[in-house]
Amino acid sequence: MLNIAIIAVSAAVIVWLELPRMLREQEYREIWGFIAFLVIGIGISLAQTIFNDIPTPVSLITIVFKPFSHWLSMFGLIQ
Amino acid sequence: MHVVKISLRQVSILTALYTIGSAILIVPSGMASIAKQDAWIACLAGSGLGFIILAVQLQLFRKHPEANLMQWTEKLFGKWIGKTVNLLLLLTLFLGGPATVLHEIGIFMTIQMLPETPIQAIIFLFGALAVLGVRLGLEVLARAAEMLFPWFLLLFLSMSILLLSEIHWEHATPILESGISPIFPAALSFVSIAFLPHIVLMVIFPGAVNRSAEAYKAVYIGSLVGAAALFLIIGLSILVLGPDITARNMYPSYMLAKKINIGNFLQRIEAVMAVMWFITLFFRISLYFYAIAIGISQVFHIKNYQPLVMPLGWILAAVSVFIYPNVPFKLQWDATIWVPYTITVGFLFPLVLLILHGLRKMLPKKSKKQSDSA
Amino acid sequence: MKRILALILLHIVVTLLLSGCWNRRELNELAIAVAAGVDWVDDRYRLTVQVAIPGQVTSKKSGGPQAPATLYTAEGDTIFEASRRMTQVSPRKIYFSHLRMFLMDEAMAREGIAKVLDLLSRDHEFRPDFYLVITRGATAEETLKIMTQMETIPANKLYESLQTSEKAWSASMTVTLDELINDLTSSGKHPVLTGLIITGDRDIGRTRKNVENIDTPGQLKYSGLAVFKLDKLIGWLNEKDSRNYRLISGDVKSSVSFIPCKNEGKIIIETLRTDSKLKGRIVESRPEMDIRINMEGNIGAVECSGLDLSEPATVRELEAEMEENLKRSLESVVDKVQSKFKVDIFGFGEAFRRSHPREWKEMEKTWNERYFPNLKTNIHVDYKIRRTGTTNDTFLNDIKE
Repeated sequence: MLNIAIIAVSAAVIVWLELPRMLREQEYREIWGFIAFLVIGIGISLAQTIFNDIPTPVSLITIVFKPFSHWLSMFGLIQ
Repeated sequence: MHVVKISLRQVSILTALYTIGSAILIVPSGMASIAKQDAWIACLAGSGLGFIILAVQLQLFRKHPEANLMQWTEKLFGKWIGKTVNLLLLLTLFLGGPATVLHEIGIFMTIQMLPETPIQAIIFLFGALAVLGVRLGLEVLARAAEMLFPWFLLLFLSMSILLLSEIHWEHATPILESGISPIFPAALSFVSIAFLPHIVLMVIFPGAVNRSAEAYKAVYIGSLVGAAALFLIIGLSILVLGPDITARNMYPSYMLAKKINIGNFLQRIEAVMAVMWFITLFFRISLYFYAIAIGISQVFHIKNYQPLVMPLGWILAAVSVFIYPNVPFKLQWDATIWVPYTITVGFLFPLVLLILHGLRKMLPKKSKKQSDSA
Repeated sequence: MKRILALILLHIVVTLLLSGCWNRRELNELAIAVAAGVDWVDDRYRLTVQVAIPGQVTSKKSGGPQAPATLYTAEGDTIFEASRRMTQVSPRKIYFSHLRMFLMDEAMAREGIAKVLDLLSRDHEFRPDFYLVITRGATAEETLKIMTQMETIPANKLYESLQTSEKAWSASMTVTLDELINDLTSSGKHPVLTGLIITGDRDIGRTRKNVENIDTPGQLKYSGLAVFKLDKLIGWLNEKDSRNYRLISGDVKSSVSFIPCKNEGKIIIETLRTDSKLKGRIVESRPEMDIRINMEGNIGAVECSGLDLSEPATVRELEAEMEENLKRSLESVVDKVQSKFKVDIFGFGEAFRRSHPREWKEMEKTWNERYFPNLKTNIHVDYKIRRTGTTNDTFLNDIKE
């Protein structure tokens, strides 16, 4: 519960620091980008507090580059 | 938004710090475990290879110093494919670059200095620092680098000099004990950490240097300084600790700092020396992160990248906490996946761009169609 | 306004985060371990830690009611467990970063020291600068109980005296953790550690009485070198062999030796510098070892008359005799190790690995069994006497009856 409160407060602080200036200067593209990434960030943090164990995202890179890695190790370029 | 311009000297310093950051911590151990006492030879070979790679990366920059990597991709692959490629590149770089380096400093601190502190605390604090730096912009980062680089040099050189009395030359013999074959994988692992990630700089520097035509030279100089520092640290690890202990230790360069003992008086100064890794790792993370922030703002046509920095920094810190489940996973990742990934991104990718660019020049009329249909 | 608010917020966050290091420990909450010992008792580890008592060390009026250090002992199936169990007796958590000495008793050394060393190299609190020694004829616990004069903390006495005796007498040697691990993992050299004994009366040695008089009844003394096969103790070198061993390994700074005179008495020579080179050779597909030792010394004392030290020829004679003597004693220690222990503690194999890496690959596996015991060694000693002290001819020449 405390964690979620911290997340909410931090998000509020970030919005309060950034949003008024962007509204004043009418940077609407910036606002959309800002909100989109903030939502992703909050989502990840919430997922972390709710589910204890999140698989690491680099395993996706691992799957893609595994064959290349095998190929390199055949030449002894990776040990 | 005003136009960012940094000087050639600042380019060199940033490049040097970027080269040294994170490599100074992890490279000696990884190379000594592959090449044993010949790690220094592998470092020389790797540096040679690194400059060839750097030449490929810098080729486009030299031809058109005002367009960065993101713009080249969109121009040569076409708008939509280019954007997709750029997004993929930025996403994977984000995970493999700043997120892992941030985790790395967390591991380092929790292993060596603050073992019972939760890694989150270190990651959030260091991440906040990077966010602050990146939000303030490249000029501020560059000036900070200019200020901090002498401190880094002072610490680094004093550490090297204080260790001279501990050197055992016989640790380096026999040279090439198991032949030349372990040199290649060791050199490759060196290049994958110290040189291939320089592709990130091709997002940052184009258009941001005041004498852009000569900027590539400054990158070369910075890389040379960085490679020399790494050579020194690898050599010292081997000569002072011996190849076996270098390979066995997670952070041999920290162990080196622990070995400093001048007359039982000047000793136990490793915590001071750790400032050196903080400086370099800060710039490593910040430059990665800056490149990703301006890259994303370019892909989505956002004029001002600054509002994106805090949300991106949040994602960075949050992801960084669980990017490596444990230390053996990290070692495995560094050794097997990071190498092919950086070869793809740092060498093959610019090479493909270069070839496409060459083809376009040869077939000036057809190329427009090709890139649309590709 | 917003800026100020943001700044205040930042300060709150920073103070909250920075003031509370998770495992911050102030000096007055630490028990600083200066020496530690591990005994192998009934298949369990007994860890003994000597902790300095800060007030007793710094106070000018020495000889207060308290001892300068205190001892905690705990047993456990693992050393780590024992060190945490120690908090049952110690009021504070033991802090190992300032450790000076690490002792292991003979039983532990015969059981194998490698499993002890892994903890020492893995744990972040241990720094690689303490010395390791083996206690002989007593457990580490008993050894750490002896009170010492001059250096009030016994661990400091052990540390300083090992350092000085390595430099000035050369029968003992300082070995740090990383050097020991290097020897253990190298296939061409087996480790050697200095031995530590208690001389005199142990029971008085434990009490304050030990330091009350000029003559201390119980003392700690370094004696001999422990020979290891891999990580297990297999025997001891006596003092003479230890010195000769150290000459071959080439890190002797200074030492004293003598040559008998023609009539009676001795000529004492102080060695100042030594430099030894091991070089492997393959002769008729068999390995051979060239040991070249260059030494320099001064004449320290002369006990006999009839010696003309102003004559260069005399000096040359003395040098030749010295070389002959040394050669014989070095050969004897090599012989002894080859026949009695059959483990390569000199690092001959390591020298071969460096000079003949390819041939070494074949010899590596059976080095200790097949090659080392029969290894032919060629010892060349080159002794140079440089100075004769503050006098030239001895006044003994002019004492007439």
